[in-house]
Amino acid sequence: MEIGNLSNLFVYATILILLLALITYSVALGGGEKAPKNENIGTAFSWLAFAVLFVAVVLRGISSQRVPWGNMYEFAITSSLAILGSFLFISLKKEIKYLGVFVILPTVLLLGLAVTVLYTEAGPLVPALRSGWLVVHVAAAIISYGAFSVNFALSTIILLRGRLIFSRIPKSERLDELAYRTALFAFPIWTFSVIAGAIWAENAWGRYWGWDPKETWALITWLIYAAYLHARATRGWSGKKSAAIAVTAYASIVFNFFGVNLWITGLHSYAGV
Amino acid sequence: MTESQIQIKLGPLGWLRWTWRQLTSMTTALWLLLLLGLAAIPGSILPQRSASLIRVNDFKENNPRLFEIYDQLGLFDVFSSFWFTAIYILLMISLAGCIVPRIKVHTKNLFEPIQTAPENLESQLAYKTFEANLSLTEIDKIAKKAGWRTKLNQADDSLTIEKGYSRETGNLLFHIAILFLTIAVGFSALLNYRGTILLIEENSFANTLTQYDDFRGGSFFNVESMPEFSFRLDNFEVEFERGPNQTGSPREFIADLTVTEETSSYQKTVIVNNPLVIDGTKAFLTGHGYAPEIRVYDDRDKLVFDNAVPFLPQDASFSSSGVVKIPDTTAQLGLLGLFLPTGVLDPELGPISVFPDLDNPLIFFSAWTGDLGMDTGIAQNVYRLETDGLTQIGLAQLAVGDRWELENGYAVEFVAVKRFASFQISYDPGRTWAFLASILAMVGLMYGLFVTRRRIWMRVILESNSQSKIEIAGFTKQSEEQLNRDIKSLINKVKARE
Repeated sequence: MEIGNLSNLFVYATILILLLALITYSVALGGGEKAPKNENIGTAFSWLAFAVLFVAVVLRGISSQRVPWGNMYEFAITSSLAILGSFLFISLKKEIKYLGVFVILPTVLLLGLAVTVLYTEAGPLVPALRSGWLVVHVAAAIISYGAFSVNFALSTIILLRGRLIFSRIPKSERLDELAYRTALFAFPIWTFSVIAGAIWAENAWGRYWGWDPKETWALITWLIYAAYLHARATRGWSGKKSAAIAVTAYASIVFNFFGVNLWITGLHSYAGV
Repeated sequence: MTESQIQIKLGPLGWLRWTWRQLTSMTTALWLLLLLGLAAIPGSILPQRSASLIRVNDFKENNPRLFEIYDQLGLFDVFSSFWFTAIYILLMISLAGCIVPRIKVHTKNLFEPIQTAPENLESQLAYKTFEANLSLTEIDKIAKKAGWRTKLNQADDSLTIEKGYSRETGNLLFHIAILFLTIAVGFSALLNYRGTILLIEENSFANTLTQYDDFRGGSFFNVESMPEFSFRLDNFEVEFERGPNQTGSPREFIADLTVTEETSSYQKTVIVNNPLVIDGTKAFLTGHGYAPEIRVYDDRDKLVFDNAVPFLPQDASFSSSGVVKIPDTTAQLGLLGLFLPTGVLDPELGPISVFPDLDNPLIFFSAWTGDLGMDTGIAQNVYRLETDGLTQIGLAQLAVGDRWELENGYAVEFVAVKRFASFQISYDPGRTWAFLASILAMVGLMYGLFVTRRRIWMRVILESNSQSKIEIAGFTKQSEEQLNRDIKSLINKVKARE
């Protein structure tokens, strides 16, 4: 069997395992005596999914003989890995298993879109992408997206609190604090990714900033997260208000990936679907 | 007192002060950040003049009414519109107004002595007691060695130590750097230039204003200062994917140039991501296409046109459109052409190109006569033929080497196909400054976000000959974990010394 096909098989397996994780996490969210046990099973499934997806991503890289983030499909599977990775890494240090549903659900959706809409066979890069900056610029974006996704999950439950009451979810202040820390981690990496992108643009197109739609949306994301970090330091803005800003910021990330690549024409439209 | 009474009491200076305080408040900064993001959205969705004039004109043709309204609002020049500029200038003023007082406070803090310990340590964070046989003076020395700022207070037998000033330093550095970045970008726009050229194989370009197809210079840019150089496109190589997977995707673009500067001449290969650099001016390979060589003979079989004509690519398979205009003849002739590198006649879609490389080059021409309007002196688009008022006198499909006899005695010959490459040539003195500013911003950001500002107090509460009991506690607004680690490590250091 070809390595590329093997990678696809592993991606499908990941989706299956994640669905199992989603079910157990959902059951746990309802509370009850068995909730902690179910959460642990969900987390075990998540680890397994992480490992399988990791293999899928590595195989994809081997079969195309380059970093596995050269088109939208590859970006989607590697980002999914980053989202799972961020969630699981935090769960080693903090009790955030209650977050399972809110992290796994978007990941499954992303992977589902990847294999159906975005899928592209493994192949070499278009000349515009052949640069060392692809490795740095996109890797940084993927890592920060992973952490921003956890921030989004946390902010979503802060907003839902009061409307939906889940016994497993801790106090808002703790959620708020944790959300803030994930953004603290992701923001400088995102900043770095934008700067690296500007340097690459300077090398490839002769200008470091040209208000290309992708660049514009990267800046919009940056501005909203900057507003979020400021909101946390402003009296009367923590809690739901800053959570709303964080959710808006994440929406801009999602739009930058799907909207800008598929709908708007610009210099980044080579992403290949 | 009602609100109106307060308003009466505020004089012009008071109002100014009030406005200033509002502008520099964190809440305002927060709203301005969000507003700037919101204002950028139309610039990403609507075509922008600075990026693609063609697409702006397309919009105008398709929605003439909407175009008028949008254009009035500056929606096709969002990033230079007064409202976008106003928001970011307000943001910069708010930023400056916020950091200037903070710089003052921070410098004062850096040089002023630290405050002494509060009376009640028990109510502070991370409170604990430990036994030591070192005096506070000795602990003071240990702390100093570990990089703490210290303040020993003999009067109440207490010691205060502080660390993490670089947090605020980093914070301020970040904000100042962002301010500089904005200024550098602004200066860039005044001093830079950017132009595009289209160069057919075996042709040359000299770096003078007239040779550019499109040229934009900043307000302060001096045309005289353009460096003298020229280059010839010796050969342009393109390779496309021929496998079943991603068929037709570009794989390789290589432009071989002979570059001539004032005194020297040399070969240079330019590929995407690897520009030609001369004196800070850079030439980037940005696109390519085909230029069929066309010959036209008049009714006495005299050669009246012999040129490679660039055809502009319309899709990924390089279906390209171009125009040949021959005005200097008795009957003015215009040819409207569709060039297909790998042409096939699809029963439903008509003539289409199925592959971007030259597997079966075909041109579909329609010939027109009449007044081409080229004598009116109005500048014309060389890629467009206005067919209103012209008469069509024929249609033909030509392969390389074909000759087409027109009904008015003229003949058109498709001789060969050359390639062309597009280059963007740019010069931007502000980029080094922008780069430096963004590096400083990055450094400032790391310190500003990740350093914990913390303060630890110690006080001797019980003293005997050999051992003394010391209480210790601290304060931080950031990471309490960091504070706990510091206290632990300090106690360990003290114990290690015993």
